[in-house]
Amino acid sequence: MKKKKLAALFLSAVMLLSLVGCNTQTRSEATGSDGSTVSGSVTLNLLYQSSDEVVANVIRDELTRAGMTVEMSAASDGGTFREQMGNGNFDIAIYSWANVMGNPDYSVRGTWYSTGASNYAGINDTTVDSLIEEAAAQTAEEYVETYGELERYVVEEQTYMTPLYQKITGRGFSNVLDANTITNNQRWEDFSYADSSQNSTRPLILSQTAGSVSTWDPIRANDQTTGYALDHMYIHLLTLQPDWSVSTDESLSYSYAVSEDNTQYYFLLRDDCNFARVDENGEVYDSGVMVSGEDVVYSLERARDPNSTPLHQTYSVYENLASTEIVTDISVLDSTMTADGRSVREVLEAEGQTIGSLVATRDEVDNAAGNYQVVCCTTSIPYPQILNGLTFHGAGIVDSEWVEAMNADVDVANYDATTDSLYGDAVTTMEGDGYANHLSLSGNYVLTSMNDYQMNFVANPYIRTNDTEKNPITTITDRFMSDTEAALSALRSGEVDFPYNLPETKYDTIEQDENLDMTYFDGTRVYMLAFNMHGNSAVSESLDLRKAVASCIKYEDISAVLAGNTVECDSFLSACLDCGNTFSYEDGATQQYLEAYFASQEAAA
Amino acid sequence: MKKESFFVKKANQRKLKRHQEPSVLAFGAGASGIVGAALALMIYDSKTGTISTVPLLISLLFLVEAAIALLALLLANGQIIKHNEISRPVRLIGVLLAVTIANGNIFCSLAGLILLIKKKNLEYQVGCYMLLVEVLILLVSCLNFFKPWVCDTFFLGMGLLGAVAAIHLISLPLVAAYVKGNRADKKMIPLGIVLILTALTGNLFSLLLGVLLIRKALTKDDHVSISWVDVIKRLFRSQMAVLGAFIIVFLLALSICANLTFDYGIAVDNDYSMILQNPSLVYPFGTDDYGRCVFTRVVFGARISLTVGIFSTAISIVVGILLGAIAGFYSGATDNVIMRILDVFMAIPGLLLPIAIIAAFGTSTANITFALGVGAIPSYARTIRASVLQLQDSEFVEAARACGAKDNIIIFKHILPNSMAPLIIRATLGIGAGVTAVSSLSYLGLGIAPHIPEWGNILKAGSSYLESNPYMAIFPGFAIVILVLAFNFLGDGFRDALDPKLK
Repeated sequence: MKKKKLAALFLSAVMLLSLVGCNTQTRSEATGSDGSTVSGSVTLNLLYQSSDEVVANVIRDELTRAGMTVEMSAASDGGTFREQMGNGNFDIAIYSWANVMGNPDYSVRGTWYSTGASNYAGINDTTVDSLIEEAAAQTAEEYVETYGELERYVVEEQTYMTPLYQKITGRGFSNVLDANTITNNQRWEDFSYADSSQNSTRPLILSQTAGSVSTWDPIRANDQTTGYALDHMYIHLLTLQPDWSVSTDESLSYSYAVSEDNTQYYFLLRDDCNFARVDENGEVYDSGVMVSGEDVVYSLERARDPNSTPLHQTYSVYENLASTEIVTDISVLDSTMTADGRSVREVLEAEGQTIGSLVATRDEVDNAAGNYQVVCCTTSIPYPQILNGLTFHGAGIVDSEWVEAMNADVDVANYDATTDSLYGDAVTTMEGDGYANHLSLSGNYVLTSMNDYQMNFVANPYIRTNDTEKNPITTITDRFMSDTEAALSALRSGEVDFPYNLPETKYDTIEQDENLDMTYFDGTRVYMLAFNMHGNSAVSESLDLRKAVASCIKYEDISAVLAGNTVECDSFLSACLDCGNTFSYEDGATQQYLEAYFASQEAAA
Repeated sequence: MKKESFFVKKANQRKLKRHQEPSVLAFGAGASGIVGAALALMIYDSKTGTISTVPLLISLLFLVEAAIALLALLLANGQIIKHNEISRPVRLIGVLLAVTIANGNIFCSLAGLILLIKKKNLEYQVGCYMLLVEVLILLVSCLNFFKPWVCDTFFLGMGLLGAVAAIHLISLPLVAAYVKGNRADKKMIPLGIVLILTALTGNLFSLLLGVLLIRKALTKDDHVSISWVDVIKRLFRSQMAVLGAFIIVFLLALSICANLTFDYGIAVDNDYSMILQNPSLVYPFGTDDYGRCVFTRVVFGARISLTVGIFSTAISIVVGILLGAIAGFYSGATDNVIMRILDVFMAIPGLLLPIAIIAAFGTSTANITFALGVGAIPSYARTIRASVLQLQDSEFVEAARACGAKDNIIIFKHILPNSMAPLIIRATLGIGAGVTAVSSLSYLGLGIAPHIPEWGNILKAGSSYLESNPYMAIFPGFAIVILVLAFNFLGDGFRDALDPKLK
């Protein structure tokens, strides 16, 4: 009796289960097929910086779904990443570029030009080169079309790179700071506390993700975070305003003028800036050396010459800069006309200066007596975008005699980092026994010392001495925090006032914190998937395979995992220019391109 | 008066101690009460201010079942003190408790099974655990019914598991009836073979039961007790040790059966429309930042954690035994050379050696296993060497020497089997340490590739969402804690079971 009941119970349980089972689909029923329609196999090595792991995972997922095999190789830091990519140790790589200058040429010249300093993908195409040259010589109205053509060629026609996303930069900061002084391009000279009486007493604590600084020589650094510091350590002929326009505010020049044919650029220099140096106790003192035309000429000449120093990183920005010289013949200023019909001299004097005479050396300069220095930059082609280039840290004005003396006995061709020492080697600014800060700085802030955890800056009192208000906050500490999550925790606990980078997925946490403020900017950093064009990869040879990969990438997926804090983009140009292109692939394109690739493989075999 | 009540109390305690039921019932009531209370913490979502029904229901079920077990405990205690036995009606409460496995209450269910039968032998107890493991796996697999789809082998897998569970259910009354003391009925041999076959599902209890049945059926003299059976018997006396064994066997079986009943795609494929979902019936542990089911990931994650934990310990045991035995047996220069080299290894801090090995040879499951195994060799070698040194002077070794036995015979036949006890304990603890080490390496980004489900990986992904989506870290963290605790409990149990002083 009891057994029968048990059996009945068991049977009904089985029936119930099978009833549920009938309504349940298996994977192949639900998805139609098991997706194995691809007739060959592709294995791709995906190189990425570990900070881009989230996006790398999305790409891996998308390519895997399309039937490709993806090997992940994470580079722990930017240096390793660039080295691996430059050596061609990858098939596809997540490559990002921040346009910190606001001009389209900077987006493409370094990254796509065959000899570009940051052309780690190995693109070598004369069409690309000539389009970049053509656009560079055009005015803002004209170049939109040329850049559009370039973008179509690189992204659609040849698919050397394919767009991923553009960052929305959320700047989260402690509300001890005045929110109006926070801008997208990190101008320390604007920062001020909400309670301005704290400016001279409370050190401002920043943090950045890059932890390894190798140099303080402006032309030898090309990573963004060293760049930020360098921007503030050397003065420029021009500065970039919060709205990305070019201006002479807080710069070395009173005014500037551009010749009618866009090849000559004149700058009227101030005489109230001296180089600041740091003594053995870390105290800032006035070197007594004026930042003058000689220094400008020296700095820009070495900035454009790839062989002026070992490990030159920024020369491609100044490729079109033919020469820089001090103008001594005042009649040139009168005879050269600008586009609006005024003479260069009229434009230069528009700010209220009256040029009595032009002098060649710093000893003769005396603005009060009418003795001015004017510097003229000449470009090899008409190249108005050079103005943006002059705001870049690579065009920072260094102390010519000081740097020349230090670098005199270094053989550029046979440089050996282990034995040779150069001006700006970061190791000399490290606290400890080796501390011998030999920097001679012209910027808003002076780096006094650094250690493994932070860099210490103080406002430079010896520049622009005629200006009444400058550099509100007197002491700035910049901490190394490679982990953005840790930076966020530090921000929330009050340990850091303003971290450069925060995790995209955590912006709402900051918004909910009553001690923090948040402002959003369209980011300058654009992420693209770069294909290996060094010639040592399957993707180098096959356009079909590149297109197959490109057609897998869905912007919506990336946006979803980054909590929607992204903007759709077309290429590196999107950071500053909308060329009017839209790139899209039809459904099923991936399969077609893959089949075409396999067919060509078989034909070759 | 006072003296007498003290005496009565002692007598009652002795009575209760003679029976297994009170302790098992108390454990069942307590444990399911704790689980019920813990689940109650998950009911209220402070963010949205809502009450989720599923945890509420399960929590209530557990609490009610705990109350039933408590009631059964009180009744049983009363009867034992009065009549020194438990009456049939009270034993029938066991049926009620046994079916609580339906909502995953293994504690009450086990107590029910133990309460149900009057004359219990070791085999019946092992059988109970064996059955519970199988049923629990079936239940866990059933959670897949809520998913949009199940994997292609799901129904095959469920059918097989159901069949195995049925075999286990049937074998329960059989072993209770046909095994007496140290002798089992010869009819039990086929059942034993079948049970050993069902151990292919990873259910080590059925392997143990099968071996027990066959060994006892083939025994010639049932007055001589089999020493390893005695060890098992003592092990099964400790609730916590068996619970540990149960958890380990369950996770092992789950990681094997998951290949049939769980869809690996759900664990690794991103689902961008389901990012960071809170726990629900479809996603019992929620979804992660790529929309993957955390529950499925944890299930598949057990595979790597256990494999690496067990195999790395195996490597270190084998090499450790060899080196330790040679060093201890030959002493002098050999000893010095071997032990000084091992000292060098020992001087390298815990995780540093694996990190160095992985940095040199690259990350793969095999390399991680090897790296962790090498790191643990010295401690095993030291343990074995100490035992060998101690045993070398004992009479039975001298006797073997006198008989002219060769060195390898003396080492492997006489010395090593007698020095296994500390090693087994160390190994069970070592596996637990191995599991944490894999997770630590993955957490540091040095272990398994980030998208492959592994507990450390899942925990790492969750660690950055501790504040907004805590479940992403809680569940994998809990899994690690539970598994390591389980190995520790089992290790403690073995220590007690193997300790001659506690026999």
